[in-house]
Amino acid sequence: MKAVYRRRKVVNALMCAVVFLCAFLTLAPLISIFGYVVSKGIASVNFDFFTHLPKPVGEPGGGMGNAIVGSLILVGLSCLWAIPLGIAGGVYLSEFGNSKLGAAVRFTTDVLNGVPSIVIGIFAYTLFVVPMKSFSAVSGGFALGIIMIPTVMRTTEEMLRLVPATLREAAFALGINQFRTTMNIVLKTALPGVLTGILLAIARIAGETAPLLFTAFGNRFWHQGLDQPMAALPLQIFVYAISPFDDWHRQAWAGALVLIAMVFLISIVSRIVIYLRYRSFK
Amino acid sequence: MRRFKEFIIEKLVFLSGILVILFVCLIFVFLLKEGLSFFKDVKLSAFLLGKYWYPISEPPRFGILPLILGSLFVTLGAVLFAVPLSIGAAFYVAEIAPARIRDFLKTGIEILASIPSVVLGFVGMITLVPWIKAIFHVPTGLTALAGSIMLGFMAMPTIISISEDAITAVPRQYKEGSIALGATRWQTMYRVTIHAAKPGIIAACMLGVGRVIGETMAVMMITGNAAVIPRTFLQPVRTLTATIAAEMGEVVHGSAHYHALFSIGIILFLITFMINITADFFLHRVRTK
Repeated sequence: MKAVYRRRKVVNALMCAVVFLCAFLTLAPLISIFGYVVSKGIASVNFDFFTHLPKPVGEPGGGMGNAIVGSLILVGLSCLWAIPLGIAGGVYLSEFGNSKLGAAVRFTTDVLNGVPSIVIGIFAYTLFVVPMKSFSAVSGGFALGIIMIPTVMRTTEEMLRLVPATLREAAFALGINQFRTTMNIVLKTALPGVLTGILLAIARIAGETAPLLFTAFGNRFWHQGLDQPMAALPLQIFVYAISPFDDWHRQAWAGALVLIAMVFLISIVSRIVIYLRYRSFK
Repeated sequence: MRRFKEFIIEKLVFLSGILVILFVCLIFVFLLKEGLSFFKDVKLSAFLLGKYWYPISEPPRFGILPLILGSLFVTLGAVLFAVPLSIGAAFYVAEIAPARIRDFLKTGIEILASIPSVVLGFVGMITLVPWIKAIFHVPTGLTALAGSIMLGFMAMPTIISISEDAITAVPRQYKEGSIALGATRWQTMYRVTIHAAKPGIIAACMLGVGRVIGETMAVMMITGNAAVIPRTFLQPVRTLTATIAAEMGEVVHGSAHYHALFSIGIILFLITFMINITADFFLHRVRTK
């Protein structure tokens, strides 16, 4: 009997160690990737990087100012149409989503979430670039917006469902109709959560490159209008990363660092918002 | 007036729900519209099973078997090492880690999931690719293996986070019952918890696979992009996504090559659609249980 006990204990300890090792093996490389980008990029991030245009090959210096501005514009464009639509869709799912149609909407949202971003890119290409006969910021904003919608919708839905039923009931008891209850009470209460969903979606699209390859396309100059090709930070990083020039690689590392810093900052802020808000519910 | 405004907004809310369905349909219809005319000239079997992808040679050849196999190789490799590691990690986070470390790990994993793929590709290109070249003495480190490793890391946060939810959702009584019967922690995890959490874990893996198949930038940067049928993981491969990304910018609008790229888009759409249906099926089983 003793031997059996001992074996069980040994196996238990061993497997717990293995499971710990798994966690370590998944996290350590990801963290070291982050550390590597920081160590490579920090030397090249300076004031010029944010304010200057890229220099031609061979000339040192220059920056990605146009790409940073371009990324902000593209993200802004996609927010402009995708956030209202996403929130409205989330309201629909949480308030009227228990029907057959609601289930269908929920399912297609998941499908849309899984569609590869490159496929959404070629969709935006046929819809905008082909008829307009030019790459454009608008087509990039459209593609990124579609990628945003499922995230915004599903988090809005979840956050609205988290609002305590008592609040709704209190509103009904005061004679407020369902529509006003949803808009003025439920949505308002859930607003920080909804905001989190929006921030997460922004963090996701800020790093998207594939759908921009043949929509926004990239541009070596400052913003030239929404119907013209537009630079974007991830695109610029890609072009510089696959180039053979050391100077450009340095710029690409700096770009990668700025991009990661932006994305991480957004995700961390969103988590702090949700932590502060929902601490009391738990 | 107020009534009218409410009516309008309510209809708008309804409309935006419908709009999502419309978008997915539109995407598919547009892909079909641009892709199907390709099959007037080329047979479906020649497209799917053709061994050569020479879209700009004369005459052009549009066989996507090497691309499908390229995507499969990269995905298979990524799954082989990402799935066991991620499930192990999910168990550590959900069952073993102390509460404080668990919150920290969960947040950390979710934040790491947001590293943009172009950055992962760049890091892989500079570090991993030379290592593979040196370790395996191959002519180039731009191989399916490099793509598998990088994409594995990309899929891990997704798989860990969803599996962890599934493991945490297993009723406490199951675990307590098992512990009360004298089972060790490991026996409980291995014999009880994993079975109860299985549908959720499978769904997590499916979604991870979906993410890997649809990934474009990292694979384009580190797999070498040679459209040949791969025999080992130490060969360059080219995936479906990378083909679209690399060639769409230069293709002549309306040419057979253009339509062929959209047909690849259709295939990608269908693959991820199937994956999502399966994942949804398993997740639904978790909910109704």
